Formats: sequence, C-alpha cells, structure tokens
Amino acid sequence: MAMAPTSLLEQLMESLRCLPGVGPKTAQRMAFHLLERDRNGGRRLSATLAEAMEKIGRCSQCRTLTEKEVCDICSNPGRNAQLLCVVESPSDVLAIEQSGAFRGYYFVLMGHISPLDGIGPEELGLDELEKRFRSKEVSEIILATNPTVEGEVTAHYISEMARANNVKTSRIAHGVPFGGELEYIDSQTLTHAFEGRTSY
Amino acid sequence: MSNGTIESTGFLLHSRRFRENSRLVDVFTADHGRVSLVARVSGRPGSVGAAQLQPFRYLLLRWRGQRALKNLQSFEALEMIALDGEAGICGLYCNEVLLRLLPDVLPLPGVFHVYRQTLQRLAAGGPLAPSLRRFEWQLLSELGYLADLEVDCLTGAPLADAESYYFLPGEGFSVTMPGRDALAVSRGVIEALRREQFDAAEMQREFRSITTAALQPLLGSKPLQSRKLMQQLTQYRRENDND
Repeated sequence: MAMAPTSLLEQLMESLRCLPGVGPKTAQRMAFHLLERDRNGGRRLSATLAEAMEKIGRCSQCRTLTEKEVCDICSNPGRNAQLLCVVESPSDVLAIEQSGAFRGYYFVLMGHISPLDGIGPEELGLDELEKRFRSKEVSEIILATNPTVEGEVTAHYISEMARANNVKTSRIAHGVPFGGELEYIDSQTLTHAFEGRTSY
Repeated sequence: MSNGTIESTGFLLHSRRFRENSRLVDVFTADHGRVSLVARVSGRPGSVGAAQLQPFRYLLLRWRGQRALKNLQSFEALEMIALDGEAGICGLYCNEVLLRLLPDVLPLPGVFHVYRQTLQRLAAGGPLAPSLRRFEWQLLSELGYLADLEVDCLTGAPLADAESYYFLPGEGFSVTMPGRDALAVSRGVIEALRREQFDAAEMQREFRSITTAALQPLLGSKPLQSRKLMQQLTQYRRENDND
C-alpha cells in the first residue's frame, strides 16, 4: 500500500522536532503560531536559517563557528596574542567573553578526548593547535576544558604537547562557585578547592 | 527488591548522550556484572544529575527492565576515585578493555575485585605501568584465559628449569620455541609472573608484550583508542625528557 503524501504542515511540524526540547506537541504549537500569528517572523526565521546553514563554518584560526574566514575575536588586533585559551565548545567562548576575564585568543576543540567514543587528538584538530605552538607567537596557554574525567584527560594531553613545544601552561581553577554553600558541594570539588587554595 | 527493581553497587565504565535528556550508561556492578542502562537526567547537560555520571565513580544503582537495555530508576554517588592526568587515561584503558571483554549481566565478582583494586592503585600515585600489567594478568586469570606457568605447553610435562622460555599466545609457555609468533621470555619474568610481582622496572617491556599478546585475540581487530592515546602521550613525554 502506498503511503499518503504528508502535507506541508506535517512536514513543518516534523522538521521543527530537530530542535532540542521540542516534542510533537511543542512542534505543533510552534507551527500553528508561525502560520496563524506570525508569518513575517516565520519568513525571517526560514531565510536566516537557510543562510546560516549555508554560510556558517569554522574559523580558520580558532575553529569556532563563524561565517567569516577568520572570526571577530581572532581578527581583533587589540587582544593579547601571547595568551591562548583552550575550550571545548563555542558556547564556552561566549561564556568567557561575557565574564570579561580574558583578553587573549581562543582555540575551540569542538569536544574533548574520549577514547571510548573513538575521539582522539586528530578528531579535535590538535595538530592545528600544535602548529600554533610552533609558530612561537603563543607563550602561555590556559586550559579551560570542563572539569570532567575526559576534560581532564584532554587538558593533560595538551599540557604535554605544550611542554614539548616549550609553551607554558596553566589550568583554570575549580572550586566553590560564587554564592554556593559548602555543605552542598561534592567532595571532589571541595578537595580541589583546598588543594588549589591561594594565599589571602 | 520488590516490583522487579534491582539494586546493586557498581562502577561507571562509560556514559554517552542519548537523545536529549538521557544518557546511555555502562556500569560494572558487584552482583550482576556489566549492565547497560538508560539514565534520564534532568535539565540541561552539565546539571548535577549528569555530572555524577563520570567514569570511575562508585554508585549505588537501582534499575528495572527485562531487556538488554535496562532503565535506571535512581542512583547515588558513594565514592569517587580521583584519577588525574595520565592515571585517568590508564583508568579509561581499563574501562575500554572491560567493555570489550565483559559479557552482559554475568556476575564476575573476581574481576570486579581486580578492577576496584586497580583503580585504587592508579589513584595512589607511583608508577602506573605495573598496575596496568597486574590488571591485565589478573583479568586474564579471572576470565580463565591465563596460560599455565607450571606446564610446558608443547609437551604437557612440568615446565623445566631453563634460562629462557617462549610464550605462545593462546597456548602457553615452553622451553622450546613453539612457533614463529612466540615471544622470548626470560627466567626472571616467569618467576615474577608466578608471584604476580609486576614492579620490576627492567621487566616492564616483557610483561607488556606478554599481556598484550595474550589479550589481543580476545579484544578483536579494532585497535584500542586509549592505548593509542597513551602511546602518543609517551612520545611527547620522551621529547620532553630529551630536552
């Protein structure tokens, strides 16, 4: 028996479900909202979405997402070229930028080393990172991978690679979050906080 | 426990994202061996629930289900064995080996004990390689793949006293060269293996070729990613030491 061709409306609802947190009910609500109340918004969304999917690629220097050959941060000459911060994802770059704590450049791994998932140094473009170490521009890298087992393994690997290229490395501190309460913090974080204490 | 819920403690071997609010979790439990679970984690990635599902964490787990993939009902973190840097890679290597070798839901208390001791040894500091060799050797022994150190695999007679021996993976040890794939093994190494003493620095290379060769047929043809990672790291280490 041939399947009945699905209507455009059904196709729209099905397509919306690729978004995180969107199930069939939410997809239906979104589709009807755009069609009944906000056709202009829907047209703008579809045009931007189409353009973004075509044009946004990776920055040739830091590998973050951008529609340019070199992203805005990498092409800003006013930043400190000696400092390079290694992060796991483009959203980490945004978070650090919003904090205003760092004025150097970034390198985005797009993941972390995870041997059990088959993700090794090549998959993360660590050969590109090593080229930047060899270029002698960078004098210190700051490892800002997540404090997970795989994030720590990644940081350790990159630190050995940096040492082989005579680049100084540091790791962001982990500890008690601002506004947190000690009694609710897990023992490993507390251990780290005590080991990494600074004079005051 | 009632209504089909099973409770056991175990170590998390591996967890990966599965759909948006779930993770696929492989655990090695004390009472049920390896179990594959679907864990629903609330909220965004990185939330407290998901953060507990890290390798080497010792968890109290409750799950249900008849099929191969069970549903994790709840869990509590009991203990965290902190493996940093290179010890972390060694721990992931043990996990990768176990994921290849452990059958689903078959209690293996001996292997569990060996794994737990290995994690504690790796976390204690000191040289990592002897801990890994002990793990590999004892794992082979617990799984019943260990070659008999007292019998000559070619003649079946007791292994004669000699200056050097040969090891043939899948067969055992002999004083005469059993085949082209055989590894030459010194007398000291045989004695160390009998005592399960893996600490001698000058024997590390021989220990490693024996356990690697013995594990190889069991692990399959796909190379172990964590082993590759360790080799790449050793190369950097060597460059650093030469400086």
